[in-house]
Amino acid sequence: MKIRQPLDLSSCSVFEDRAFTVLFALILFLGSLFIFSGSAFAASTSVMTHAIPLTGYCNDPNPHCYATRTWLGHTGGSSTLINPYGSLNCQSCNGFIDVETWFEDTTDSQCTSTKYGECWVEGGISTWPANDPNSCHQGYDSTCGFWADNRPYGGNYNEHPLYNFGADGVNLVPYLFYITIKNDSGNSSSGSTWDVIVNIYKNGTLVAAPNGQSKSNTMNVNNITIGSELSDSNGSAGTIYFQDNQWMDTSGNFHYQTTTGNNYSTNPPPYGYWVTNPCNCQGNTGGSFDTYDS
Amino acid sequence: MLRFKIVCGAVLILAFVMLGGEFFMNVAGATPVKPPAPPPVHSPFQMSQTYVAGNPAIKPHLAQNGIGPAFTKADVAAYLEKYGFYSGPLAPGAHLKILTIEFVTAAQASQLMVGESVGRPDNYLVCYIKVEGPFLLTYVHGGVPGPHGNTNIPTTAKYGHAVFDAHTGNLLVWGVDW
Repeated sequence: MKIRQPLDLSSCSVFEDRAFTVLFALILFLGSLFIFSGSAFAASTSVMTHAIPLTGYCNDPNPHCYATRTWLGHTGGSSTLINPYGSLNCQSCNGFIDVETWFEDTTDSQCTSTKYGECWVEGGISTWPANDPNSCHQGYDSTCGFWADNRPYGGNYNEHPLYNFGADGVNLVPYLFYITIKNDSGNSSSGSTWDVIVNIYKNGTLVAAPNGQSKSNTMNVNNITIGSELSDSNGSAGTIYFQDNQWMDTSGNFHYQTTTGNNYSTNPPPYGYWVTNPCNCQGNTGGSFDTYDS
Repeated sequence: MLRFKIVCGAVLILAFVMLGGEFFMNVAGATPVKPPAPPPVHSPFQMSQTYVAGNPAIKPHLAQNGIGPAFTKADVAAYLEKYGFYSGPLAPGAHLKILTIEFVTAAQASQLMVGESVGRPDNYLVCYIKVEGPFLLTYVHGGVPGPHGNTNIPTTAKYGHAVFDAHTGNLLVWGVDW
């Protein structure tokens, strides 16, 4: 007669069996998260991803490519906040990628007769290739603040440095770039001197307030534009928002934009869309326009 | 039972390693969290308090007496020969020709640029240069497309000009002419 041996409770207790069952259930659960979501934390931490492929539109550096919104109408001033949630990248480029605002006269004959067919004052943040001697970090791919103008009567295009953010691809997230362009001597859309007022914050602290003046620029401003410009197919950019979009009335008061403006963008890249539309409604702060190039 | 425990332990460790890696990868690629930006404040324009230093260009080496320049015209010529002009490379087959290098006041330099601002007080000493190409406009931040224009961006300019701070050698402004 065969006698059954007693169970060895020291090596296989009921407690241990349950522990391993729970362990297996946990592993299966985690595994299913990887399998079905592709990423255990995808839903909770990666709120926004841009995985749209490049179209190659900018293989030729001319013409340049744009993701913009334009508000039409005469005004003596504009203001926007460039709020980066990523970087600008253009390593080994000959051209650049930027985020900026333009303040323009596109209709007066003095401006339409210029080489570019319009007058403007512009300013923002751009990459600079290493082989451009104007780089704010000479000899290196860089990220720089700038302003420029294109003036009538032989004034032509001129560009001014504003700020050195660092290397190409530098983390711009800590920064806020406030830029206001306005008539220096009044509130009219017509003038000859335009103030470029920039305030740059890093981690909430004002680190620079570089200003400029566009002189002998007899514009009658009829456009405000915000957005990104790209002139090299190697360019890319993270999410960068344009917020607190404002225009100035004839009394010198600034008002938030209440419409989404006009879309005169070229084919992407770069890409742009309204995350929050400007509206004529309670709590409007001029919308939030996102540009990126992934 | 022992083999079972070892396998389970290994799988558990692997799972935690994968989880950890995934977590840090997602943290790195996730949308950053920023505190809300304060609304813009429209303060009065004060040019004199915020003169821009300019971009590094010519290395100053002459002793400074507070009046004269910290570099020579030959330094400027050497710099231009080495780096070329700011708008972009020379057009194919073209050769850089230096037309003017002169130390002038900011007001005079502004006049030479049809009123363009230099970003310095009127009597401040600067170095104005003018060059001939033609040059490609590779680095020019052009205008913007709109309802009325700028679909025809020029690709070359015959002339270029620039202004350097005579004391620091930094570039203050550059431009192109046709």
